[in-house]
Amino acid sequence: MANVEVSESQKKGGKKAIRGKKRDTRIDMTPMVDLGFLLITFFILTTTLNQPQAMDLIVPAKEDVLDNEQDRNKVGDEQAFTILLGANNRMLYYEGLFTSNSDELKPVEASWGTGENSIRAALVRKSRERNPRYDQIPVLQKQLNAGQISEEEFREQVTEIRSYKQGAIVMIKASPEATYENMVDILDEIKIANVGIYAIMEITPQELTMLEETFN
Amino acid sequence: MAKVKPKRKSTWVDMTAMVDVAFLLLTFFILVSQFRPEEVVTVTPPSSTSDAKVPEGDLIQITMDGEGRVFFGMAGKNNRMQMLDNIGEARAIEFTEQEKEEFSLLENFGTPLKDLKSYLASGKEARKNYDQSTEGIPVDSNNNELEYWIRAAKGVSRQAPVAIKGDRLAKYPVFEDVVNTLRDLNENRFKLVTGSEGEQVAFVE
Repeated sequence: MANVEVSESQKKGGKKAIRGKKRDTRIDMTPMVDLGFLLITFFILTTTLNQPQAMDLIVPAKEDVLDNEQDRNKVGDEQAFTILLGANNRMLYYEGLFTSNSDELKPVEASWGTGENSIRAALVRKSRERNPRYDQIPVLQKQLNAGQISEEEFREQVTEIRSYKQGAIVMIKASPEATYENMVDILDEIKIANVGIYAIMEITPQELTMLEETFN
Repeated sequence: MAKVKPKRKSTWVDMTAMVDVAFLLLTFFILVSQFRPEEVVTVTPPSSTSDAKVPEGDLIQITMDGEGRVFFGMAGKNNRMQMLDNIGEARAIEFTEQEKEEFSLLENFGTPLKDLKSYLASGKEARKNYDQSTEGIPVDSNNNELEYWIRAAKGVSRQAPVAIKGDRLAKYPVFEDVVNTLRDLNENRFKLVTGSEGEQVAFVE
């Protein structure tokens, strides 16, 4: 520990003290290392190294709502794909529009994640069914990864494919029991499945009944 | 026969290099660190595959906790001071210099306007208790104080981005209320703060 003190005892040894004594300049660094690492630990624990992620959400302007009401009628029966978020992280989807002959609508329960009856599979299937160019997106992605096309080119083409007018139109409707997480997750699924046109809408009483009937 | 005693080796290790490394790392962490702003509520945001970052600068952050309470915050001390001026003007409330100073230190708050003055006057402990029991900023349609706050914040910086940070378990109607408030103000573009999950690709054969 105390090498500095050693020279102290040598002093008494005799003549040698007269000569300029050689002091041991080694200092024990251990406490300093301790201190250094303690501070590092402190800073690691208190810092937020990376910014949290964020997801963009664009909602239609309020003024557009009236126009949307008319637009909604333009949504073809075969294009419509509605997702209903219910309680306990469960959800339903049905294809087609809610009209008077709603008996024909077949609500299907979908699961999260991947798998045969997952919502992702359903979204991919519907998009592919409606959009003849849908399968080009992964091809473009591959080309982008291989460096054959530029980032802008990729984005431009994907946007064009996604905004195909006759493509699937996904409507997301959350019941009051759904959580915020469900909403974020479903928006994520939509992004993953490359769905072009989607909207968050208010759930109708009929749809609430549908949720109840299917889950109970 | 006497055994050959193994020579005692000195256990002294030269620590200099280690100190160098330790302090190098220390310097690095000091330089890159940003202190986590003190939050009045803890929320666990849901995760997403999105890789966009939360914008820095004059960020307006709306926080929803698991119980459906809404908190509001704006980055920047000066911004907050101006925001309080704006809201005082809009709602005809006079704030003293000291109250402004106190307010500018709040990263986040969930105080209805009627309690704001007493909140600013109270001490740290009292505030903590208050934050536990507060109802949050009212968002219901007949008394939408969130709208006033967003207006005030937008008055400080028109370009300020809006981020919504919600707890995983926040119920959907709260989110809907917040979104509708934003839509009423013609803020149609905002960020949802999420944790990261890594990239995922839809399976397409």
